[in-house]
Amino acid sequence: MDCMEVQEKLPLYHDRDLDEALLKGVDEHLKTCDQCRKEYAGLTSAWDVMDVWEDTVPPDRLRKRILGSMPRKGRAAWLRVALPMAAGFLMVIGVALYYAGFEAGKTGEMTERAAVQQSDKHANINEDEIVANLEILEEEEFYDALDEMVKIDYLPLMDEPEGGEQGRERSSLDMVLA
Amino acid sequence: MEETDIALMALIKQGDSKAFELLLARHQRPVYNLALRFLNDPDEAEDITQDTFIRVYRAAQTYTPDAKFTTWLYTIVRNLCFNVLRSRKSAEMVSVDDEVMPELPSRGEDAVELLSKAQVTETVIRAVNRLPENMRMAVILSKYHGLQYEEIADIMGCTVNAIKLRVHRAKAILAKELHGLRHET
Repeated sequence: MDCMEVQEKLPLYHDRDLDEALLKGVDEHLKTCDQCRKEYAGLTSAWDVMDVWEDTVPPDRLRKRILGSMPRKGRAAWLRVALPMAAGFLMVIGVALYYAGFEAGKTGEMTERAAVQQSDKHANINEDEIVANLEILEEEEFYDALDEMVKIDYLPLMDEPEGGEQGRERSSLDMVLA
Repeated sequence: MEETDIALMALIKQGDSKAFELLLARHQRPVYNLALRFLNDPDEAEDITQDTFIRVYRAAQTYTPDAKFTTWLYTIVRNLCFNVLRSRKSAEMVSVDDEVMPELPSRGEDAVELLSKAQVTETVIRAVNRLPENMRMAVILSKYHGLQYEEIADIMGCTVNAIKLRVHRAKAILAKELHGLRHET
């Protein structure tokens, strides 16, 4: 093996990543060649000096930061149960209220309709009665009023005829009738 | 007895918040450091760590242990990191070809510098950050997370040979970049 061949293989030799024959060949060459030995020493020392770059201890806040950014499992599990339950409950309430409202509306509508029908019935009945009664009432009131007026003896009369009480009553009656 | 990650995921699925806290305690640091090394931005690393664990928590309901838990976890981190890079690129309107090798200045064969640990660390960070994205992710997972190439291939969604090639090329680049670098002990 010549120097160029050996120096090409030095990184692999450093890893012992050569087959037995090549390992032995490089070994033999390094024993006799100062230049290649120096090359190999340079490679080894460079790789070793890299150990100076030590690990850095992560800052304390990083652990807290990571743990703080984790989703809260307990809360999530609780919500996973509670949210569907709450949603289901609200749906049931909603449906119940809807049907209750519908039924109430229907009942209310029916009641209203019945009341209207009832009132129509009453109205129909009452109209005739009222008309009839009104006439009676008017007549009765008229005669009551008349009676009352007849009893009043101090109605102001424009022309009070002469001739005493009888004449005054007659004249009042005449005026009312007029 | 310590619960496995897969057992903890099963407990998280049942709503066990303590199991999540345990999983977070176990993996927060590697997740944060993977994002930090890859993006070199502490704020973005924090955001990615948070996003990763939120995804883990949410995925617990559907999680099936097809692969190692860390493979699955780091795949989430890797995807989030690349999303950040994409948004950075679109914000900067800069196109970066992942396969184009950066020009790396050689430090000279015999230049041995004795620097402070902080200076060496800074040089290493710069050298790693100059690697192309896929190569950088493979190197970080291999070097700092001790993952096997097979697992890295699963995380990166490519073949084992592609990962080997990336890591080997990275080693050659870093050897030139960090040659002779020493720090005071």
